[in-house]
Amino acid sequence: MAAVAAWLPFARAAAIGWVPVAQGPMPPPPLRDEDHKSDEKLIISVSGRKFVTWRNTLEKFPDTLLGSDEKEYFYDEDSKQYFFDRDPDLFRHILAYYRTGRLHYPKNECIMAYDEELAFFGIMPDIMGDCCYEDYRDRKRENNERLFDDKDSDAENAMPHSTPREKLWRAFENPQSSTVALVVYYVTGFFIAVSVLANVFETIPCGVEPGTNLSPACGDRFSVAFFCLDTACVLIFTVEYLARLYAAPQRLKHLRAVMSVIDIVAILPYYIGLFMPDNKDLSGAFVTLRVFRVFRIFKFSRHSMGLRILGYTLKSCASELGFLLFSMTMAVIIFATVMYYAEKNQPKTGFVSIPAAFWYTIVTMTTLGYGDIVPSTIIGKIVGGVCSLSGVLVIALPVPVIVSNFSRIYHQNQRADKRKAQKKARLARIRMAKNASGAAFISSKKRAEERQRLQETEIGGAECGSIRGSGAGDDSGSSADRREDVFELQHHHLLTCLERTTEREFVELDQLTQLPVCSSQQQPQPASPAAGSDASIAGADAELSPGGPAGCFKGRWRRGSREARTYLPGRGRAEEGEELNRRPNSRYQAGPHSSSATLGQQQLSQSRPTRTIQTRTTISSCTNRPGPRAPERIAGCDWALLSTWFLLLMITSIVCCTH
Amino acid sequence: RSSESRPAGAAGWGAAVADSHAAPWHHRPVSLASLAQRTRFSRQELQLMYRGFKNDCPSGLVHRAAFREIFSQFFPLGDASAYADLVFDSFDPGGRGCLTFEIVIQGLSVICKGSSEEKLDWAFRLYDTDRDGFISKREMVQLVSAIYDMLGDSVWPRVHPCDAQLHAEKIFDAMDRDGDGAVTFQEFVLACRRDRDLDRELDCFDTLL
Repeated sequence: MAAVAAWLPFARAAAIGWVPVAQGPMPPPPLRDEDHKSDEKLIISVSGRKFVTWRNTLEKFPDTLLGSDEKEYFYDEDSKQYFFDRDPDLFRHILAYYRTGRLHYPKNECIMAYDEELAFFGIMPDIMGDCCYEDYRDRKRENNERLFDDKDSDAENAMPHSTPREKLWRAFENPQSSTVALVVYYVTGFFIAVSVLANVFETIPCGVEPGTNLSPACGDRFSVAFFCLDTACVLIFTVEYLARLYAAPQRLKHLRAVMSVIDIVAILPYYIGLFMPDNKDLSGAFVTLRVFRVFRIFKFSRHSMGLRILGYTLKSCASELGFLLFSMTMAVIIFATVMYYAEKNQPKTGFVSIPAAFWYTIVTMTTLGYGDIVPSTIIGKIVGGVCSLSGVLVIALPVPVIVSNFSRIYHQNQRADKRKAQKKARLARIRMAKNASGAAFISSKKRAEERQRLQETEIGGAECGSIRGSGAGDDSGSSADRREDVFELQHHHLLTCLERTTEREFVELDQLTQLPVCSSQQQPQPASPAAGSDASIAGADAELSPGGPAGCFKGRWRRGSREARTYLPGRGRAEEGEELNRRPNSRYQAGPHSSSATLGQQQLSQSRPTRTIQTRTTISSCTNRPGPRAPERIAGCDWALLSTWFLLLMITSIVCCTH
Repeated sequence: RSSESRPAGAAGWGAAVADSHAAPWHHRPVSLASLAQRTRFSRQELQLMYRGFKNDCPSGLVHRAAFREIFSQFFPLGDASAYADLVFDSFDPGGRGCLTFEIVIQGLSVICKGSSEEKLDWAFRLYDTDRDGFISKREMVQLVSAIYDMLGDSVWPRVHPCDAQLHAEKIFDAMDRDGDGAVTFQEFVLACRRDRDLDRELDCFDTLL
């Protein structure tokens, strides 16, 4: 409820009670304004839909747009109403806030659109009524998580200057970032699998040893081979661990990370066994240590998203799991005690102690029923029955919670992956559309300049055609465009000033293809016409997607035509070429671009042969090629697989040789 | 007519559920024309006040808690609930616990547009909470404390706990000429008229709507 003018008379009248006890005279009342209107109706037009309300209603909340003088900025003198160019459907809810004093959130509206409206009208979302607040918060959080996810993955792709250490770390953390990373990923995965399988197979009995009736385990028969295999795996793991340790941004924190601990546990037993003397007493302990080699299988969690999600789910359901454990323990103790006392006096009973009864209780509660211990008294059987029935209940209770948690996180991850996969395609399409509009803008700008020049130099129409073969430039259109509005002219002038300042020139791509191609394409900046020039100076395009390996999912990508060293004008940094996404249809490139390290080449804006622009501090080394298309190279993905197989072949041959 | 309130803890869960589906405590005021006739407000003023009234109390009845809230909005820094209670009681002599629009308007008509005598009469009723026709010292202290409560903390000079008491006693002693520990209406009026321009001061609380 708000302090409506309607209640003010009441409050002021009630103040008469102060007069008798006042210690001083009351101040005179405020001046009476004879022109004061008691209340009037305001017409608010939102995109044509009219809303009418009392002025007092709006002034209930003076710290919002409609309640303060700020609305006067939107007053339209001609129609005597306040005009807002916003969404009328959402405005309904804004106005309802003024009318009822409570803000509601419509469930079928987009949360971002609603938030923008609230921000525009100066209303804090926190005053939302309890009926809608939770829903609003939930959707807001969901949206923020999604944005954060995307931003996270973008941020790591947008680092132009990274030291080798950072590059190594990024290669380890994100296998898609480069070929080398992918190779490392596959190789380590392969060796983990090999190691685990070797551990398994060396215990299988293989063949009867001649002369005896024994069938020793494979590990004993081919001990050398297994030892070499183990050595190779441990070598790889050690190298990987040390490399990770070197590349980690915070080494101490990395040492304590779970995956790092697993790595250590996976390789330590080998070294311990290596350096321990061949002592019969200690060899028993050594054998026990070999058990820890099974932890190598946990290294797979770097390779499998599902495994990580499972681990994360278990961590997030820790309380439910704890509850499960606690209730199981309670039930086990209760039932074991009762069973023990019921059965302890039977001959040849399995219930020799309460801890022994624990085993029976657990086996019964989980409905396993091995049958190694069975009750024989009637009471024991009754209790056993109750035990198994209650066991089903106790276990069934927390399981749905865990399952639903896992499902939610897994689906979230699926959606995130799908979004990432689709994002590249989406961004590509958006960029193409923007390029088209940017190119159209530049060509219209060129035409305007032509016309101006024509008018200045009074050259005839014939020469106009010889100067440029621009997109749609022909003289017939010029007369129609003479009515270009002042705004456009000034915008063109602005861009021209930019060109003069930087000693560059905006070009169109169809001009570009006739020129020496110095570099392969580069992802353009998000080029809206106004931003086309700004983007060239602005920072890295964080939306640029990484190169080749990601293309594995989409089939073959074509490599850029050249790997020439190109100079980034205005930024002064040379980049090595790497594989890129090719944009066959991109048409407009502004001059300087910045890019991330993994993307490499930039597109240069070339000077057109007829118009000599002042200085081009540009291409340092670039070869003139007859045509724009370069020979295709093998995709990055194939490189990764090839090198992986080559490495494996090498290692296998080494192992065989030593044997 | 508004229905009587049922005792709170009467029948428990079932009754509470039934209560929520019972007929709302609704009150529709008499027509605008008759109210304009009966009171000294104009039609526009009545319209404006009723719109605000209906907005905050859709059922047509103001309950004590709602009234406190509305009143407190005009005094955001302090605690106006005590004074609001006093005002509420002065409007609601029957003790029904809720006010209708007619009661409010009729009361306001007297206070806002009445003569000084009528205003003082209302003030006396405000002070005299037990309706015995006399203002005792306790009642004076209660009222002055309620006024001081509305100040809140951010005032200077700071409010000491005994300030209200001292103030009340000073006023009371000034009013109570015959020293019998009770202030009658005549004493009250005399004390108010003494060395102050009562009419002007009472008029300054008129609100232009």
